[in-house]
Amino acid sequence: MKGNDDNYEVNLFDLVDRYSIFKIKEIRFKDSEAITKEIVAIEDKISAVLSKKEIMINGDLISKLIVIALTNFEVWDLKERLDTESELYFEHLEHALELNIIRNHYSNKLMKDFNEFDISREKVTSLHNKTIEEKKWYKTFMNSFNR
Amino acid sequence: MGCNTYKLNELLDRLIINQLKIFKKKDPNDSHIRSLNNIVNSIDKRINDRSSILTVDVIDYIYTLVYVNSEIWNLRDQMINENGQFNEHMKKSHQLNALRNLLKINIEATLGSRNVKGLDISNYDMEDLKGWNINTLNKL
Repeated sequence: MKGNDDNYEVNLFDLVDRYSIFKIKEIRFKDSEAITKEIVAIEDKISAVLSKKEIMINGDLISKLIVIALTNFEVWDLKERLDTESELYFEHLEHALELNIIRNHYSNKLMKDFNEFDISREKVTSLHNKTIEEKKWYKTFMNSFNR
Repeated sequence: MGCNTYKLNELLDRLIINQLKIFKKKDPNDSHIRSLNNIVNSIDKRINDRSSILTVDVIDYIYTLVYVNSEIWNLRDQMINENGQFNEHMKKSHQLNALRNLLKINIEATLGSRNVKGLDISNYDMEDLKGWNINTLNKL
């Protein structure tokens, strides 16, 4: 095998996730030409993939996209507050990690919806041991808002 | 569709705000979850007739609506909890609400009834909104 093979392709979920992050950057770092350029480039890539996949829209898909966007945004916000609200450092950090678990759970689902799920790309969906986790708010959310 | 049903754009907005409440308060109580599931069912009913496929513009409108709602929530929090910048935060929140309304019109036109006349949305003048020179605005 040649050393310069590049077969590990970016999947649609990764593009959609990256798009969400850059849209947050666009809002937070105002007027950045480089960010806008990257957003346009990601949009082109997403469009190219979608033109081959023809994914139907439904409420379930929309709600997963909202979860990805919201959890990314909230985690971004909480990480900013780690610096400014040091007395709440561990509270904010745990909250961010919990949101990340939710994000991972719906990321795995979206990869399945996009027909690109692979066990090697599966994201971690636990933060504590099972006994503790079953009582956590994010597990309740994931178990009950689970269509 | 009668006047006693929500349009798709309104359902989407409520779905975002309901999720936002759960994530902020870490409180997925039965009422919130029931509401989320009912909203998703209603969205399905609106979309099923249309056979719409996912496009990058749809993702863009959804993401931007999420971020506008989140920013408005943060500004309202700051209005309550921070002294000294009430008017500034209030104005920005008002301007972002106009952007939110514009996005909702576009979502309805793209995914919903496509008849956006008569939508109960009056304010979409963003005045001199600064710091939101986002790419999405070119599509609206």
